[in-house]
Amino acid sequence: MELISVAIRLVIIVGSGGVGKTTLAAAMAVLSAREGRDTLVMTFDPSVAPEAVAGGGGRSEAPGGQGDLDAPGTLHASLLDARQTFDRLDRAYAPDEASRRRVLENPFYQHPSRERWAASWSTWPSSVCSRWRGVGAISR
Amino acid sequence: MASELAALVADAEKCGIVVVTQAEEMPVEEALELRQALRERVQRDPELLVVNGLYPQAPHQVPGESDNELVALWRRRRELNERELARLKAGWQGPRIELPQLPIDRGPALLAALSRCFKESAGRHLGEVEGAWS
Repeated sequence: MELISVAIRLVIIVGSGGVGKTTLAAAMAVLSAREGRDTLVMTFDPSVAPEAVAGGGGRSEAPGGQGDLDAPGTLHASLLDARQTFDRLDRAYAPDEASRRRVLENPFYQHPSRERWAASWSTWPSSVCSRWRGVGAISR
Repeated sequence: MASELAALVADAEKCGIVVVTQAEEMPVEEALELRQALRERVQRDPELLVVNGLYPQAPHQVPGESDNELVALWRRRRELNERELARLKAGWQGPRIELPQLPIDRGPALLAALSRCFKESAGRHLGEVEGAWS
């Protein structure tokens, strides 16, 4: 019996805020890699700190339960660069230069999103990969 | 771009949808609304419903003895979970997986434990499966 068809290349995880979407996506990605698939798990939520899912960032580890994942597939994790994406959307869809500038220069657009986006993005690649490599989840 | 995304979400051969909820009134309501919206707008159902963060069964209540505060809270949360699970069972046909609340901080240990629970629950709820996905 198929739970999710192997032919489906993309699975989106949706639900109310705070129900565990990001953590579940990461856990499903681990399973997928263990079953031999090359897997990419992405989050589009700019407020998610990568360490919140993958560990680290000063958080303590619970004892036990952290075995070698022994994944025959590969597992990669990525966080959308929300600022760059929204800037690109603005460039693509603003009807004229004045409208584009009005969005980019809007204080609500610039702050606090700039700091938050930058903070979450800048810490993602190194810390997450190092954490996940540490449990053998990423094999290249 | 929005129309391209809508077309992708509507294409059940290319895009799987997993709805996550907790057995609490508001997330359950929103999950049921989401399923209805998917049916109306893109004529499809999600592949899977995951009920996350379930409280464990409370200990058996001894007749004539009252619970201490901790057990009373535990029992109440579990009762609410069960009420919402019953609502989901009545209103949601299709594969469903239940995952427990785990006493583990976020991080690799939680992912390892949660992926084990996912696989076990898939086996319980769906019968024999070769893997979590297939």
